[in-house]
Amino acid sequence: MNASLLIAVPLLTAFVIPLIGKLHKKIPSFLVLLSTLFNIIISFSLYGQVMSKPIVVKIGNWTLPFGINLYVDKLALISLLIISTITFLISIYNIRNTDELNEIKFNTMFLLAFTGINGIVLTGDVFNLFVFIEIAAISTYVLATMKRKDSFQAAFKYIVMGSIASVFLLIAIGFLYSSIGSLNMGVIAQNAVDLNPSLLKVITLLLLIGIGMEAELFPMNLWVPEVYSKSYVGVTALLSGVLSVSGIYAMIRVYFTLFGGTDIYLYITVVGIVTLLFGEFIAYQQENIKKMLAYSSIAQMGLVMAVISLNTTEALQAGLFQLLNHSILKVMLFIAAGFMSYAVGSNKIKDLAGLGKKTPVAGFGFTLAALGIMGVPFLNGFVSKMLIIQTSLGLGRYFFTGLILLATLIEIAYYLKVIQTLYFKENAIKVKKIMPCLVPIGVLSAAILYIGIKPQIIINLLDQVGTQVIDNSNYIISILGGI
Amino acid sequence: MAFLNQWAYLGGSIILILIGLFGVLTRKNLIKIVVSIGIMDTGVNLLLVSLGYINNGIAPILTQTNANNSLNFVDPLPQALVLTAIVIGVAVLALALSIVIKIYENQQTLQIDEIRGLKL
Repeated sequence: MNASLLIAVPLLTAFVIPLIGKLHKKIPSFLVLLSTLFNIIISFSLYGQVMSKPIVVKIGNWTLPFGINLYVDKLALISLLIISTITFLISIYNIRNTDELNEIKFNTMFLLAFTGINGIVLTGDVFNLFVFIEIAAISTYVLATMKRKDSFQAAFKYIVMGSIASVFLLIAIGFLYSSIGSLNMGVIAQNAVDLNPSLLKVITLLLLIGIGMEAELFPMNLWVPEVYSKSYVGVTALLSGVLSVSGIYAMIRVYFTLFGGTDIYLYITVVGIVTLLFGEFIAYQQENIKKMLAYSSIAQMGLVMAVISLNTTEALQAGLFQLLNHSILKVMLFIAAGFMSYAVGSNKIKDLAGLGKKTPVAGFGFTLAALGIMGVPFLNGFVSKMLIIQTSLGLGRYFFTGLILLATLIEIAYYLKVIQTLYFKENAIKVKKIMPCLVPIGVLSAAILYIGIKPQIIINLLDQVGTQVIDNSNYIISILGGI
Repeated sequence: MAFLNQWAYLGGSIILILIGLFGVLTRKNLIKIVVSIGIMDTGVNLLLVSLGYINNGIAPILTQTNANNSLNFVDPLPQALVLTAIVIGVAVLALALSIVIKIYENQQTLQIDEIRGLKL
């Protein structure tokens, strides 16, 4: 199967939805479901091929590096699998819960965002990376406006941040092109070692700001809490569990593949740690459950970036494991929290008191995922936290490990506070009777427990990914041949 | 002089970008913020075009009259990039303006300090 279908089919389906969506109310949601399912199947069918050798798809069959290419290696495949599976689960949740939105508009934009996110992962060309980032960003700007009257302010903030980030990204691409003379990632990776060191610093900083918007890293993440707390739950889950994965993927591509042989990792370590502590400290003070989860999501992204920037195979392995866990756990937390706050009609944590008994499914989902994030043994979060601490201690980074442990302590404090409110307090607010969202919560709980008990499969897989990513000569050879 | 020509374009476009950034950060009116984003986009497009600029350059098309002076060709790729970037910029501006209209309908004002939930 051709990897370009992963972009083409969602794009086509997105524009089919307005044409035939009027026939029946539920057609748009089911088309989204089918399209994401198709992407899961295609990604799995590429698995065997990618494990032996990266796939390079030449668009229009032009000789590389003159043509544009798509590139699928192990890292890209893992990200594609995470992205399409999580989006599939979110779209199952969407089938029943989008009644208050305009279904046709919502689902078209949802699929366009999905297209852009797949494009970010697949592309092998820096300018195409920019275009796909913009596709994902513009469709999520629209998605962010789609819930309530006051969601427009949040969306405006998001647009302003996004435009600034895209300008920085374009400047970086311009500088890269004028100094190297190609936009192909393979060629850039080959020649980046010879760049003027100060120019290299400027370019990497510009890229850090440009892509950091998607990856929710510190300077450009101020839109996150507003947008997350004001938009519809499915959108929040998409932004937190899927778009951020593609953001981190783009970061890894830029910092490990493009500038692999150079020394720029201190920036990302600092930015990652600052993001982590900023997120955890502010999450602790929140009284709004969605804002708390948003800041916790920021913190997780910072943790992933900080660990990845240690620049060894083990660090990449641990960071990617944490990213996978974040994606699973945060989507579950957002779906469960959205469900509970819909049931009581409020976002305040204190209004959720006693819901653990009144809405058992959502309460169970939230508690399991919260325990997973804290790192309770036999859940998936424990394994990745252990790996992170092992790696950073092994490298002799004691201060770094201390900061991560401090952040984990704060995290445990505010998640325990919510769990305590859910189960051990009572509240007189009347609870609406609504159908529980069994399928996503069931599948995600199974994933959490399975990964927690048998992490070895994932660890081995991510070990291979790390080995491939850390050495960017693999990338250069598969794009440019043996030149 | 050739040197000055080249750097006038680069410097000018960077100044435009900085003006736009300043506007986004300091203006209090939503429309003015959107206009500043537009200035920033224009600046970055000009920057990209000027990267492919050659003094006294000609269009990169091989014909019988200029089959040999290919060294004077301007680089066509940045121009193709800029076309794409312009389209994206217009889409974002249109979306931003439509959101500003919605905010005005709901709040009856365009001043940032008077709108709840917009303090950056």
